[in-house]
Amino acid sequence: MKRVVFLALILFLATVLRFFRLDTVPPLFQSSSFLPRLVTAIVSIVNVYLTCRLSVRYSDKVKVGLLSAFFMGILPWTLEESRVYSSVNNGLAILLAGNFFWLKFRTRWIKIFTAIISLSVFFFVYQDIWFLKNFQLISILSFRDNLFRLLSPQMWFFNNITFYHGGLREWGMVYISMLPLLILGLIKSYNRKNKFLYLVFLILSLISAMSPFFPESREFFLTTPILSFFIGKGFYVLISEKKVIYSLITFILLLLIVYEISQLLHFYYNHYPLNVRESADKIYEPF
Amino acid sequence: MLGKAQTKSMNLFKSKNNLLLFLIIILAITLRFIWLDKIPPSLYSDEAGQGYNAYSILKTGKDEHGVFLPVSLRSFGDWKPSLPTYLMVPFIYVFGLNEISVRLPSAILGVGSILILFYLIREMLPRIKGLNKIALISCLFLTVSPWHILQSRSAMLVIISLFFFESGVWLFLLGLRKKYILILSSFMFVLSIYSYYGMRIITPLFILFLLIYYRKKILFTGRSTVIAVLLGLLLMLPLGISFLNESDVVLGRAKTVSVFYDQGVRLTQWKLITQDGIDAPPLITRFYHNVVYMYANRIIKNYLTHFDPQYLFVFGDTSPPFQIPGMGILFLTEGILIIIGSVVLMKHRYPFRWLFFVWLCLSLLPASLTFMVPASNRTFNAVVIYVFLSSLGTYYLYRKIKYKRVSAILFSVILILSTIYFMNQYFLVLPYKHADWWNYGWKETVQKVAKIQKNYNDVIVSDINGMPYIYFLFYQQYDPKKYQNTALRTYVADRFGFEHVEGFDNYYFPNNLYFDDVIKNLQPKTIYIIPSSQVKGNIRSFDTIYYPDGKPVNRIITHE
Repeated sequence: MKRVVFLALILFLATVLRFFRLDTVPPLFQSSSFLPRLVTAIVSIVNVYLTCRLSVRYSDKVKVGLLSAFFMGILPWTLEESRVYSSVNNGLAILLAGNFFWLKFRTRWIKIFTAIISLSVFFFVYQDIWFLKNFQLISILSFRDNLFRLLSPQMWFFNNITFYHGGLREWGMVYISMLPLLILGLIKSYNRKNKFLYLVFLILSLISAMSPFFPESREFFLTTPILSFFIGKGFYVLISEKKVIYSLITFILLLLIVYEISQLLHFYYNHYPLNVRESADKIYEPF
Repeated sequence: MLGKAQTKSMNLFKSKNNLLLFLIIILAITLRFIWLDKIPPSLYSDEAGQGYNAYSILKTGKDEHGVFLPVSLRSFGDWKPSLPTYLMVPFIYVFGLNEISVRLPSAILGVGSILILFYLIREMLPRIKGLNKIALISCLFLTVSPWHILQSRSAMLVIISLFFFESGVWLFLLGLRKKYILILSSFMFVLSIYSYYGMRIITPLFILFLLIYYRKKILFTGRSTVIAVLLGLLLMLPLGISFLNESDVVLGRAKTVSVFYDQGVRLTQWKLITQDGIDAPPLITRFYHNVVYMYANRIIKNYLTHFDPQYLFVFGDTSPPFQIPGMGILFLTEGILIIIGSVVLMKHRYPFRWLFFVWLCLSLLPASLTFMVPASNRTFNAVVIYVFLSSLGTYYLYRKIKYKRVSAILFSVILILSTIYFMNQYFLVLPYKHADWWNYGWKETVQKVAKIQKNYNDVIVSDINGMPYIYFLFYQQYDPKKYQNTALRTYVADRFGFEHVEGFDNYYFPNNLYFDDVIKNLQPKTIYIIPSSQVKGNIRSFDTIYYPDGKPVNRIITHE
């Protein structure tokens, strides 16, 4: 019962963050319409829910699932993508659902069928993926530079420039206060069951780095549930420790996370719309 | 019959480890001593400054500013820690004032740091499997490390401080078993503080960590610890007294490179507050756009920049003398090995893992407080940790991999190729294409001017491109006593915090000397030295100094 309540609260928070002033922030331009944005917002809440269910599956711990869902709901990048028309956000829901059903069914041929269907629907929904949009191979040096840039602390915590003119480029993909949790989660999550997650993360990184449109390329967004899982796991490990010092660290980290979220929300509702208006003529895609 | 010494040395090399270590040291010596006077292609202004000050102390007991046995060298107004300069004195006495004697202490202690690393790792990891192999691999990686070689072959302070810091840590760990060695450890730590600015933050914090981490063992050392601490404090007294007399001795250049000196954060704050509008409650504005949060954010950003893969493996440092053309500060292959080594370290919960973690974290701290990031020289202490993690990763992989012999050969080939690429970039490309990074041209300029000087009254040198005055002092081995008495200085710092010299004797170094002004007001019996980039039209010049790639550096213009 408690778990249901917590999940409901997390989904409620995600809903508020996604729907509050959705029609005005970011500003709707003449070329954009509200309906696609609404659909993306709804789908992103589904993503939060699916992240919870999958995290429970991979960690065998409900608390990890709840924490992962919470973090998925509040990350800067998920917030940004859930409040604009985002085909990658919508495609992510298909992948998460596909993964969920893959794990649910035990029969091999059903699993394969599920994978084929979900991938087909995914590519139908997310047609902006670079190899469907404009397939071209880049040089190995460009690939290396893209990969390094993608994995740089700058991109992760300070300047996510995957959607330069329309996104939150003054913020990273995740909050800086989550870095210790991310590292802890990365180390503690590794086991036979979760190797798949690391592999998927690696593959998505490589695919993103191969994009000829990089950094204006949001394929890496598909890793946000995995990042949320690691952060959730890291937080779970921390709160599971009984020593006073760990409780103190947890408390301080929580305070910092809350402060950073408030910073983001203030920036998002007050400064971000002004920045986007200035760059309106440079946004060519549905917004 | 063999003598005792011969028998002993033969026994020494009977141990495979000792033989391998010996070979590694030979390689290290070769890579650090060969062409030391020519590669890098010129003395950087800091090197020439230290060299001349060492010469001045040797001859007069005073630095260029006339201060007797200074604790910190005022130099260009950047108040350099003095120990590296003092270490040059015996070499200058023996070899004279030249590039070799300036760089020899760095080269020697660079090799020394590799040797110390071997014993340090063995002391840090007492009961781990493959200890000697890991230690030897670490030494090998440090020997061929581009980052380490770059610093070992120049007099830029950090290699000296690394040697003393490593020694301090090693002797501390040894001292936990053999009490009185703690006193020597304290001495080494103090020497590291006298060697480089950043150690004034790193060393005390690291000692604090060691005392807390090893508190149970420290208790058993009793009197030795007390003596070590008292000795350390006593040796720090001169620095403390200097600070009381002149705060810049400790704060020095820190003030001008500090992140708090950079106005960018304040400007961003102003912009955001303006965007909030005049109707926004001041409390809200202060809560969100406060300097504490903004500077903290900036410092953390600076800190994490040092983990940027592009900085580590592709571009390296952006400051010219610390750049290696076409590569970063680490080999690309080290990236994967470092990750594996880190995972092994954390996964196996080795007790000493915190030692490495804290060492790495503290190494990056001083640079994060500046606005010039990423900085490879200010974070140089981290090279030991990266090298150790690479070696741990290598050893772990070797144990896990099936086809050991093939893998070892393949890995060796990759390492050799990487080293060859680095050597090409450092020994061939750097001196030929990027001599400007090292203020090339002043030695040649001074030598040319020296030949004709007696026919002219004055020498006017444009004070751009390094600190030209120091090169005239250095390469002419100008009498330090005479210079101390005749130097014209205002002690007014420029916007970077550097104090220029207006002139000495018949040499003048105007800060804003432009070619157009010179041409309009040529003085009789005067030599002018102007950067070639400023010279316009076909002006008849006595000589032109060129970079090795043929581009002009300086023009020597004479007027009868």
